[in-house]
Amino acid sequence: MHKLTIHSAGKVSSANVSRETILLDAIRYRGFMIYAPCGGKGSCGKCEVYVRDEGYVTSCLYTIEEDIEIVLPEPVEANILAAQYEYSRILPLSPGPASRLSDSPYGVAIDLGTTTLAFHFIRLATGTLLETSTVLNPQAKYGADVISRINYCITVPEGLLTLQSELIDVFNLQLSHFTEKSNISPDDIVKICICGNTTMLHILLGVNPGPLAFVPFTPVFCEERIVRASELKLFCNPLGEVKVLPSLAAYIGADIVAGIASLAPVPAHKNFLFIDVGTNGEIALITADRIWCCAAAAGPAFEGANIEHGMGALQGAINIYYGQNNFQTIGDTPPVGICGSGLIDLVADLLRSGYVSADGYMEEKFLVVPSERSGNGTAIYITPKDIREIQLAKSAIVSGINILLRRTSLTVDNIDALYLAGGFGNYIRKESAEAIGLIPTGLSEKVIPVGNTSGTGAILAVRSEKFDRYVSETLDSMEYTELSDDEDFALQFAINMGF
Amino acid sequence: MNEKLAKLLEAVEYGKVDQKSPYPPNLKGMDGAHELTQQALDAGIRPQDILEEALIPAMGNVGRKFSENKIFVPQMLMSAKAMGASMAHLKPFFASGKIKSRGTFVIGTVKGDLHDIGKNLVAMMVEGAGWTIVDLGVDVDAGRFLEALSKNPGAVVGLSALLTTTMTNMGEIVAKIKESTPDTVIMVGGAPVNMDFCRKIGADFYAPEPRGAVDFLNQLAS
Ligand code: B12
Ligand code: FES
Repeated sequence: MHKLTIHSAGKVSSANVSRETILLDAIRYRGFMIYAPCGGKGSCGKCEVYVRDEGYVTSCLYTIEEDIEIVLPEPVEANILAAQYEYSRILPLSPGPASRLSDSPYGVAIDLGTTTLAFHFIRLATGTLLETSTVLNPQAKYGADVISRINYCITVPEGLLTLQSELIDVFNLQLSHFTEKSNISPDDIVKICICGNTTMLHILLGVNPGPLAFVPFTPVFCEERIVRASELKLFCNPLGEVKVLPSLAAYIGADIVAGIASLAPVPAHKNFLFIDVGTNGEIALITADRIWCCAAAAGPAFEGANIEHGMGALQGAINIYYGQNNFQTIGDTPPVGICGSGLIDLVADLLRSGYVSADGYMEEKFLVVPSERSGNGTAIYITPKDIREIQLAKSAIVSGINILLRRTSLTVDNIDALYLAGGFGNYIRKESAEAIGLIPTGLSEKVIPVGNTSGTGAILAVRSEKFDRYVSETLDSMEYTELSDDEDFALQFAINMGF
Repeated sequence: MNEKLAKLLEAVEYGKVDQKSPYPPNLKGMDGAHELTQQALDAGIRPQDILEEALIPAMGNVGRKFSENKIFVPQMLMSAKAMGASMAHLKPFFASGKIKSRGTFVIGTVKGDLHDIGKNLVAMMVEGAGWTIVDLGVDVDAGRFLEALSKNPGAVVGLSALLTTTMTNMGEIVAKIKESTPDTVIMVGGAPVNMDFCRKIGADFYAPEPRGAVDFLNQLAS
């Protein structure tokens, strides 16, 4: 037995661990969150923790062989922007029969993301949004992307149950926070609506997501599912209604379907694009009669993974880069890394100065912040390999856009607007995105950040039964394009890698 | 070296497919691999020399520059296309035995997976090193690898996977191949694969990119 002392968020706790335990496992076992995008394979180097008298170590590769004291990174709250309402539908309040389960009924809208979860608490009598809270998805410790989570479910005994319980536990924590704070009874929470990608929804309902990760990528279910709150053991009214919104395909989930259904585009926008620049890179081209969509699988580069000094949109991340020594960080704290929007700015700047050439070649790594000015004493660089990762990610997105345009015989000139979903869209500087070719030339002026549309969709579903109709209309007009079967994709992908 | 072969080497290394091709911009309007190979053959240069003195060194340079991160996927693809244009002229000589192939390489993306861009690059680079390629495509199960091996005894096998999930299918395929022909040499690759995994599933070699694959194969052949 060794003693493990953990310092986290100003608190100290200690525990006994058996000999030869891996540090990452010991930390997780005690319920602490730790960012481990490669799932503990030792390949991403992001799971570092500080060990007293030893310095920073890669926790998934570190075996505990004596009493140690560790300091966990500050639990910086993910910086996720609240949903934006300007371009979303307004529907009359009609929460449906569940609201009769209590005299003062409440509802919760949940955006179940792979990385973050957003909870929106709503008073059903008035439709008022009372509170929004966001937390990191506790499953992040099992890997950053959906494939790693699926892999966990199919390779680890009880893996699905573990991942499902992680979600239920964090749901319950949020529900009890809210009921305690607002001084209401759990029985008053009577309606919960959930949007998320297809994998997350499978795991939430305890349905094996295995088939989603192998050809032909067929989901076990896509349709809307309604279950009693008691079936999921949620801390709310046991008869309460839990509604999981419908998905279209394995990689076009309810988050995208409800996100599109939640939009109220200005009438002048006849043909427009809707893009979520996340790991799965979902793209939809909305035209008068059809919605063409695909998932471009961009990968997590714009979320900071696979980038040497990349990080999520967390405190201390460089999120806007104007030029050498001239940048902004989230929370205005000293820089510790670069997040997606900062990366895009940075690459655009390096292209302008010729440090990176149009084919992506960069002779040597570029020093962004010297060690003495960084927030953790480590210099921040961007490396030639980082540039290659960005080329892959951005090319996947643009190639997806081009393939959809080709399907409809539309050109970029016919596109009236580009709705960018996700917190990412709010920070991104359009000129930079166009400069690196993430957005086709000519579209940057037409970009409209719409924030977390998946959350907006869930909120609309809680407030109004009428939203169902928009969701099914959206679903009915969606036409899924499987890029794996597209003859043109590989060529497009190669061509669009240039800047 | 023969001036024609030097030109062909350059055309392939920089991805000049044929005269019409606009790529690369600085060779615009010049003859490409297609024309230069025809000219070399017309001038009586031995097909084997075209392969060994122009194509193989050109693709070797491409592989080296790729692993040094000087060029990336698009350039490698263009070079491979140029090589393909040249190979089209040489194919009959392989068939007639005038050119000797270094061996046969059977490659495919494993069951459950459709990613083939990396696999195709590896196939083209290995072809450019003088090997005969049997490309089984994507979503390939153990049975199809075994079938290809029975038609091409002694061939080296390459497995590609891009998903953490389908990567596990590699283990099953390796086991089945080793069971039926224990001497078959198997190479694995793809973004989520690494040396540890390769050892764990009993494959013989892992390379992070095509150059390593080519070097390994050449060692086997020599
Ligand atoms: C392009 C791409 C696609 C294209 C594939 C087109 C095609 N015809 O191949 C499309 C859009 C269709 C696609 C679909 C999917 N993709 Co995809 N895709 C990518 C992407 C952007 C690039 C992959 C790539 O081609 N890289 C370039 C090539 C050259 O590199 P490479 O394949 O690694 O090959 C090199 C080496 O590995 C090596 N090598 C490769 N094979 C071999 C074999 C041997 C023997 C050797 C020695 C070496 C070797 O040599 C190559 C050259 O150096 C990555 C993300 C990223 N940024 O990397 C995701 C990615 C691989 N995809 C992913 C996923 C999940 C999918 C989907 C399942 C779901 C989705 N939509 O998101 C689907 C469907 C699956 C399918 N098709 O099998 C995930 C995998 C995650 C994981 N943990 O496993 C990634 C990482 C993105 C992500 N979401 O995080 N994808
Ligand atoms: S290196 Fe430890 S989680 Fe990736």
